Amino acid sequence: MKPRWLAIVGRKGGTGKTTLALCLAARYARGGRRVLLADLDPQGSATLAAGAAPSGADLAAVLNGTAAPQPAAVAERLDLLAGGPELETLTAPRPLRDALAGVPADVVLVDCPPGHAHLDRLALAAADVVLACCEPHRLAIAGAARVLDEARAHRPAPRCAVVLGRVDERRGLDRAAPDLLAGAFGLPVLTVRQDAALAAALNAGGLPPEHGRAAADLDAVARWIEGTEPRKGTP
Amino acid sequence: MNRQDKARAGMLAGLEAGHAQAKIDRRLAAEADRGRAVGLLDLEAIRPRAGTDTRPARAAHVLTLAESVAAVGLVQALAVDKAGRLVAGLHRLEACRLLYLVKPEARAAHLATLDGADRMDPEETRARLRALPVSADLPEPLRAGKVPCRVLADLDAETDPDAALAAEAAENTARKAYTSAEVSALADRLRRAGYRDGGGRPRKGERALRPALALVLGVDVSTVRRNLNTPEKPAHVSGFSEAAARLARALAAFDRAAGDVALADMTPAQRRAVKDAAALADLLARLHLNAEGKEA
Repeated sequence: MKPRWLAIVGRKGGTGKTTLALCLAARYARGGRRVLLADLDPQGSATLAAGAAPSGADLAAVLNGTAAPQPAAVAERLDLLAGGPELETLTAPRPLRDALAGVPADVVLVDCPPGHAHLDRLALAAADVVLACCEPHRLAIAGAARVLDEARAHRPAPRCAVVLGRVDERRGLDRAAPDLLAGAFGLPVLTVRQDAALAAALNAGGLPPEHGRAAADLDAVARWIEGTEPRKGTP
Repeated sequence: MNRQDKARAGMLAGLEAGHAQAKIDRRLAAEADRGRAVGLLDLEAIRPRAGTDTRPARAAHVLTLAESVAAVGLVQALAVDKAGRLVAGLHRLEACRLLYLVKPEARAAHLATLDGADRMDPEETRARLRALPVSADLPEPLRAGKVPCRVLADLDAETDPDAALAAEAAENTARKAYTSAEVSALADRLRRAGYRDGGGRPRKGERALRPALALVLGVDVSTVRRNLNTPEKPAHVSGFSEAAARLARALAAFDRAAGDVALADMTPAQRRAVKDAAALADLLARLHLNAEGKEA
């Protein structure tokens, strides 16, 4: 079966990209899927959060064509290709799908960095699904709009959605934001509520918890993703 | 308007700013792609245009272009297909060939093969050919017989003439967008090489700056006039789209400076960037609301 490629983008930093990538990766792995988490962030956030060192050699070397992909096992059925500072220096990277062809996976999750349009482009070109993380704040929305404009211009066009994270329903603005943004973006807006247990688990270096507010919301995100067919005719 | 309404307007303003930034991203990516594909090719390696519909190069145009190439070099790259056949830039190529011949009699013989050479004033043409630089004074990389060329690696002009025609049209319209400062710098170089501004028809022996600059840049004379007459404008917000563009730039600076750093950990410069971005975002929100008010 062809893997489904998900790009987690946002362009602005601190909007929950890595958290969403880890949550989805853990959820799919627990559900019996084989997951490859590709950390495209020069800061190596997903790599650090998963407890691996950001060597920088891994994904950067694979994209440079100097090494074959050798993902590290993070958990059962969850492998990680580490990101790191060398990703900043890529000049003529291979397309992600070519570079990672042959890595066994049902789902490939690409965690994109903040502020790197050229790295985002690698993920957008590979993605069946693009999830743009943002918060009910104009700077985060600007970042999401910026990268989604580019994603929607790609052919074949990936399926796109906005993921509004750390939503606190006690705040009026957080309650109003999903409808406002769904209208403004013309895209589905999926919400993930603020979850102290999730923040604590990631802070402690563990995987996201199986249950809780955020986990429940991620079920809806996963259901929306399930409606996407993997791209035909490509590795 | 209450605080909630203002915040909602701010979120929508953020969306507009993101769209504006995305446009800049696309332009920069396209320019980078075009820049990457430009390399230096030997003049001799460039093959004639494919097909039978080859327009002959006009002699007068080639000589004028050769004078400007001698002064500032070849600014707009030629385009060739994957086999090195010329796709766009016939006059530029002929101008480079003319210059590279170096000897006045060889240059004259080459010019005579071009279209309309017999209609040029022989005395003036000889003088202009003599005034062209000798080998050592040719601009680089032409001195070494090389010209900047964009190689369209996916195009075979012989088997796909339609695509070649489309590529030629694209090459001739998608020229690099020069800033006023870049145009001014090129104009200065042409002035130093003896080109003169000023309206009206140039006197005999004089070379007019604006047409030469238009030729070098591959744009029309009115674009050159606009560029030369437009000084770098002081910051002035006159409407929504301009504010959006300014905000886009400030936000890009914010992105670079701030990243994931907490406000308390930022340097003063980073904090200033955050503050500027926020101030511009407020401005944009206000303009956005004004625009909405007018529409309503």
